Amino acid sequence: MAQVRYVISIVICMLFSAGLIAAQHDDLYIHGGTIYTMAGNPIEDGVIRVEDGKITYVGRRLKIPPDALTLDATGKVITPGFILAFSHLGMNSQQQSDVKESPITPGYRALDIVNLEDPGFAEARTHGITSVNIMPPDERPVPGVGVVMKTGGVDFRKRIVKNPSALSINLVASYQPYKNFRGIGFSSEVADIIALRSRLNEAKKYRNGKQNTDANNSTSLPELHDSMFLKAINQEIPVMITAESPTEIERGLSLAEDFDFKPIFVGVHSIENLWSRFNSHYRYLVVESAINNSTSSELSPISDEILMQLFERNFHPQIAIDESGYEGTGAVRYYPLQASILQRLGVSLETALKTLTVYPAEMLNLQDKLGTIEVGKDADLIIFNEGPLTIHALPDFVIIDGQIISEGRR
Amino acid sequence: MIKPHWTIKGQFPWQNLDQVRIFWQLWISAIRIQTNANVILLILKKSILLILQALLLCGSLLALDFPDNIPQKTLLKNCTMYTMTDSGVVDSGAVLIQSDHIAAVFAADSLIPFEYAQTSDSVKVVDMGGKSIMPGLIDMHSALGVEYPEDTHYPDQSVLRYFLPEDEEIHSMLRGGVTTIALRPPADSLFSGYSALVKLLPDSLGGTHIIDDTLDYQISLTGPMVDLNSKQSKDLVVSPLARMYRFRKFLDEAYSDADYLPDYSTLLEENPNWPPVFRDDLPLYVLSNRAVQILEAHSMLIDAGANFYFGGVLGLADVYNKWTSSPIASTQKYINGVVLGPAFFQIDPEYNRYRPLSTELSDLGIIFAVGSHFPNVQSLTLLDRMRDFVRYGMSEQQAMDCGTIVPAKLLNRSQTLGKIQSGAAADLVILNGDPFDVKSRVEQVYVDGIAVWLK
Repeated sequence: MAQVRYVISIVICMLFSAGLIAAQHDDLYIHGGTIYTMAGNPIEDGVIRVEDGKITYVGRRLKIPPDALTLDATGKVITPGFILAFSHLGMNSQQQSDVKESPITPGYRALDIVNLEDPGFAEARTHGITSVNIMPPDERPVPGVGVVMKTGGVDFRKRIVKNPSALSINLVASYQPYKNFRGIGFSSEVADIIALRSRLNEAKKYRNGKQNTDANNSTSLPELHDSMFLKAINQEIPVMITAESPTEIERGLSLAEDFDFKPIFVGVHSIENLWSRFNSHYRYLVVESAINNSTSSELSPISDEILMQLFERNFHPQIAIDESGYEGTGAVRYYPLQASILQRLGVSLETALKTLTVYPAEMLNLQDKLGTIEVGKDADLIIFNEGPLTIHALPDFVIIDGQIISEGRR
Repeated sequence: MIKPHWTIKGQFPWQNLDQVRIFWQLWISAIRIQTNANVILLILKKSILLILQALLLCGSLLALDFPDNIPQKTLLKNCTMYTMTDSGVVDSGAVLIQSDHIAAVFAADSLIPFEYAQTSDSVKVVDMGGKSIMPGLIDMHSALGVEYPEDTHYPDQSVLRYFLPEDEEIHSMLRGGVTTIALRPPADSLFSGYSALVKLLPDSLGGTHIIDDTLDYQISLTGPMVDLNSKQSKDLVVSPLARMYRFRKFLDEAYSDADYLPDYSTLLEENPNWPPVFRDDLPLYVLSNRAVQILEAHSMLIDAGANFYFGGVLGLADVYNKWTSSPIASTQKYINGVVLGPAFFQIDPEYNRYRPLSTELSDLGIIFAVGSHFPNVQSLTLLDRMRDFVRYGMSEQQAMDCGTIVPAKLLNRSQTLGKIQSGAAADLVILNGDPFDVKSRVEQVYVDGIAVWLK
């Protein structure tokens, strides 16, 4: 064991000193661990080669060059970096509660105000979360678009995975501050829906007009805002619909059907009567975990029974915890714990891992970059001491884009 | 494209002409009527008013301190000059001031021409006894004497309209070695207004000199922390999220070269909150303190082909402190001109964060100038800040640069400001010792050739 630590410490030294100077030592070989690739059975005693931030080999039969940079993971477990599909990391709600603005502002971008100093980022990467989808503070019916970022890395230009990542639509009627602010005569969520529909219609009209008249763009989008609606109805970005009650979910579903975008429902907890309405396109959900069943939570948690039914009916959910809070660390560290609790309910280890890797990657249309350990994907890896989803599992190393970002917590 | 259309309103003496005319007319009518007691009474009232005004005018003229017998030229000799040019620091040099500019610089006493050897009718020679002379410092972000009416914002105005400095404030700036300030409007609204470039002179010596009333246009991406919902200030005070959106929209539309877009005046009618003047030669001064925001705005401005520089880049400290290897290295290419500040007080934690950043930036070759934001009694003077930079490891030369030649360069005034060379403005600061010695005090300041003594 002492020898292993010795090797590891040498490797770290090389990464931070020699690795920066000598360009020929860019390749990193991680060997000896059990690899949960999430694209097939786990590989015992496998090797991962990382070149230029990407995975270029996964398997058992790779001869490691003698002078190569290696990371000995013998006896450890390697999984893809975890992904949060819906969070508010780095958003400061107090500063953003700007309800004077129009209720429909899809052009607002979370990237514009993300605070990299937020301790939540460090918290997330320490616990193995390598990518987060940051959505703007959702105080209005259409708060804006999100951004997918890596939680660590040297150059923050390169940390941005996708921008915009998803459009946010908030159909939860119970959110009060916004409702209270508005003046007389325009205070019902019905009015919001009508306004939203008319804006979506305009975007649709624009798209159809453009298709018919080819390049002659005689019609133009009235607002920069509407370009995001256009992206949504062109299915370039998914739409994250926050909806809790059956009525709200029904509204969201009819929006999705009428305008043909890819919806991801967030916060749903009572969908017993709506199983038939969800067809094969709408399999992705973000549900609120029961771990944090407190009054501070914005969304109501889902019950174990419905959660189990989701898995039985082949839905692809991610179980979110308090939407990862606005300020400070939130509860990001409990995401892996929530996934291990799923196993207690009878979910297989593979499916539990998928809720943190494959499903969120697919939700965000990033399945060819993130979510599994396969050749060509980003080298976002977690090296667990054991597990991966046991109570004692803690990341020994967290690797983002081929760089060791965090040495875990001991 | 469109010329500025504001005027600076003020009281001018010839506005009294109306009253003179009225007086004259009344006088004539009085002669005609001859015996109208009411009219005579009126005439008496008017004439008393006029006499009082005349007295006031005389009084104010007398109060002005006209220095008697000013020689045309002043030669300051035997001084340690921080020239900020290729000559560097000259140990025993002399500088010849002619009216408002520097006529000549002599690197040694032996080089002084014979006619300037002694005080004569044409020249006054002052032996400085080895004291230090440096160019007047330029404060790149100052709100000195700017008083805005509460809760109102004027995106179409120059900050100069609200510039009412007190002598005491000007003296405190001069004591810190500052002779020129870039006056900035408050950052409450995204489109904050036009900055101005002003030279500081107390009222007793003729008041401030305005160099440029439209120096650049300030855009504030980060504003003060206010409760947005309690404020009555309508739609001008918005969240950073909305600010960035509007800024993007503005750049998209105003800087686009596409033919189908309407011209700027049409855009302006639709967007009354946009800056009314938009010219290529008018730089944008973009105020932002968050790292991601700076980088985002930077790429947007580059794409638009705008002429700009940044202010208040404290956010880079966030990034610098957090990561294992230096991320600023990767931002280097993104930032061309940077004004450091605002830092409010010495006790402000923000201030402690930006001191190490200054060294880091200078090591990486990112040029930056220094700004004081709110100058007042508690805050550090600009010179104190520069001394702090040196304490934190920056070289004296670099520290001096950020108060002199760098801001002059950012303001496109390298030839006239920030240097002691012939042809530059006679803005000189005389200290009784090394500028970076804490014990040194500013004793005398020349602003456009006018001498100000400081106690």
